[in-house]
Amino acid sequence: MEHWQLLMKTALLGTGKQALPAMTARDELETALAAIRQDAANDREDVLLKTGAVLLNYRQAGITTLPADNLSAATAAPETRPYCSPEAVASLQEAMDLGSNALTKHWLELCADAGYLLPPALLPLLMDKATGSKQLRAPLMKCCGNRGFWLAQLNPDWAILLPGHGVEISADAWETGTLPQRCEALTRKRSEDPEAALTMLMETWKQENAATRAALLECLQTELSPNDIPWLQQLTADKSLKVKEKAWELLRQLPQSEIVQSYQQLVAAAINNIDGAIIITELQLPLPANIYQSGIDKLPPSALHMSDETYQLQQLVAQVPCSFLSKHLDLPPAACVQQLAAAGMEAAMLKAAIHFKETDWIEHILEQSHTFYPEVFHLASPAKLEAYAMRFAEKEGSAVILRMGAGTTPWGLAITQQIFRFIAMHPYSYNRNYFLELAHLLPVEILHIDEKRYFGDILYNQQAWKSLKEKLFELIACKAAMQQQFTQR
Amino acid sequence: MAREARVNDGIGELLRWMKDMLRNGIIHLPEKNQAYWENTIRRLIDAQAPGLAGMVRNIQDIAYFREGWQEVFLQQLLKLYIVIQGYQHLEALPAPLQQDVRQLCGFTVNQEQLKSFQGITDTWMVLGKQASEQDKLVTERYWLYGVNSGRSALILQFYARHFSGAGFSLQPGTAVHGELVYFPSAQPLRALLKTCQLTHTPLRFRGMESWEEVLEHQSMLCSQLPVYPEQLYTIASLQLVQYRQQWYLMDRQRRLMAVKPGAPKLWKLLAITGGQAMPMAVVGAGRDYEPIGVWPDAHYQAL
Repeated sequence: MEHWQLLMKTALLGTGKQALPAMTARDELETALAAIRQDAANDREDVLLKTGAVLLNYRQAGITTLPADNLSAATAAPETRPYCSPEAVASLQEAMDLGSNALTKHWLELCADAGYLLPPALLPLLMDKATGSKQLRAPLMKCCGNRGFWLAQLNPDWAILLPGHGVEISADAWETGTLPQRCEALTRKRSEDPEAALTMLMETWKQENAATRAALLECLQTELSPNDIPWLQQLTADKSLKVKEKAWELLRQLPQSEIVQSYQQLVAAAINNIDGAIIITELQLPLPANIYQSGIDKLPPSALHMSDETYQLQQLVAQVPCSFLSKHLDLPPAACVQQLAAAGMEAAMLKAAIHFKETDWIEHILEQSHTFYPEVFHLASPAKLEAYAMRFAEKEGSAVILRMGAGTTPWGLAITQQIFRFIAMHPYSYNRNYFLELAHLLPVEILHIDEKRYFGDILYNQQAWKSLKEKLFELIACKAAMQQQFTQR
Repeated sequence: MAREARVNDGIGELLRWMKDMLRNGIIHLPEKNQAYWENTIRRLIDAQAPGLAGMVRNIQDIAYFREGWQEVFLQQLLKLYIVIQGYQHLEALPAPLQQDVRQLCGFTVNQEQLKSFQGITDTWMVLGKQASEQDKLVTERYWLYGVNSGRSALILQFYARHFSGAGFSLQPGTAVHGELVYFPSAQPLRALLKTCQLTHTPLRFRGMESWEEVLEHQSMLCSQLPVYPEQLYTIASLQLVQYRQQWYLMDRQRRLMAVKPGAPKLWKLLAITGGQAMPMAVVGAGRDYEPIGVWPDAHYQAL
């Protein structure tokens, strides 16, 4: 509307500079505007204000809508699964009110597993939560239905929730991308076709600088196989120290590689089973040069209570598969572990078992060990680890809680009771917030167990424990409620 | 009468300030410091015209760094001017409109006296609640719609955070049965509940067909009450759509009305509707509206 623009322009510049020019209109508006203009009592500002007041009302009385023309509105695809019950929603709400992302995630997993969908009204809240909490993303997208995917496509803030977001690698990323993009492209290719990925890397190798070479080489960790050995072997002679170290690191993971074979020969020469007894012969030092080049160290001058021969032998044992030792010594795993542990090789064997991912051997070692190894948690089966953890729950309680809490398998009743005993003795070191993100691991059965069964008659810091227990049980009760909602239906 | 005189004096001073501003040009307003506005606000409060002081504060709070502030400013300044003129010509106005002008200036209505009047007994659907806070003063706005009367009402509640709690609480998405009295006005909207009892009446849709009806109502409204507050409308079929990178509500006749900038819970609305057209409750005035609830099926869902 021209009148309004004129009014605004005059107001912007000021009536001191220029009076509002005369405006003409039709019908009653003209009558009103003329009356204002003709009233001699009005100064310039009065004219502007009065004209503006009339125009404002004239405009607001005649507001119109916009035509939608050919606008086509986007709509979500219909759902094929049912929504969960209001009772189930209430348990989710409680988990969120308690502030537990772990329980929220647990709820989402239960909902998806039971084949239900999250009611749409809750999606924005959960999607906002999931953008800030990575652990919620995958479970949320499993029960958000078509509506959730549709929303995530519409809202740029939620695009991060879409599967594959951020790993979109364009076809030419390998040639023109940044180093992280190239690594991503190589890793993806490696997962799909390890041989082709190796060829891809070999083709561009000469053009890469040392830092890039080391970073790209790291990607071969994915689907590492004996086929990689010849090329990796060549790289051990590379000019760059970083590249050499990385190549040796990869080769040391392959039992078929020359270097692991050399380690095995040295170990076989040093450790033998003679008439059922393990005999350790001292290594002939120095070892061949390539052994040191591959990463085996000599005893540092500061080391005490250990000979250089033992030190180097322990490193060699840590670099050969446990299954090799068993075969070489002609001993079943349990006996092999027992005898080598007695010979001071337990830690080295455990390192080897972790290195070559020999889960059975990890379990054999843990069954017999009297040492607490925090690094093995979740490398063996939950039952074995729990049995192992039980033995240390009293002495190493805080480490046990920390490691068990990092797992994904719910705790058994026995270990939970042990842990509660430990907490009751140290109530000021643990609070409700500590357990907020562990709540999904706590077994609901503990709600029905008389605490005397695990505390006996010993009274620890009763008041502090009672207060903590109340809060802990609130979390566990919430978990129990959500499980009930999804198993009942 | 002393108060009326003080308000008149305050208005005289406000008018001089406004004219001075226009004489110098509003182009320099974004550079004005806080004292420029605060002095006028304080003087209006001293003149016992808190309503006008609030209108000046709203002008002060305009986002002067945003493009288009001039339009918003001019509209608000002119509304303030209309109220001033109304007060200065109070005797010439119809009695109900006089009440509106007095309330806009900041004169309060005796609520105890109001309660003695007979109200409208109905089942009132609580369609929405909006809460805001300024200087620890919480303002709650409840939007009600009468099932039988078809009338809308706005219930306001004020309380100081940390000092006093809310006197009552109505849950959006529920219905209450009770007697409601409107504040005196040329177009009554603000009301208070004399009696109120929660009922389990389902919140069925009842309302207008299209934006055309809303605009007809608004035209009628500004002929009676040029400075009118936001209104509640229930419209049979609205669809939230994006058009030229802005959100609009499209009715059955494929006419678009803008969504109020910064309206919250649009994503919740999209989540519930999945982009489909549905009966909707909106609050607003003029050119933009804020959705406050929707009927995805027979049951109302407040946002």
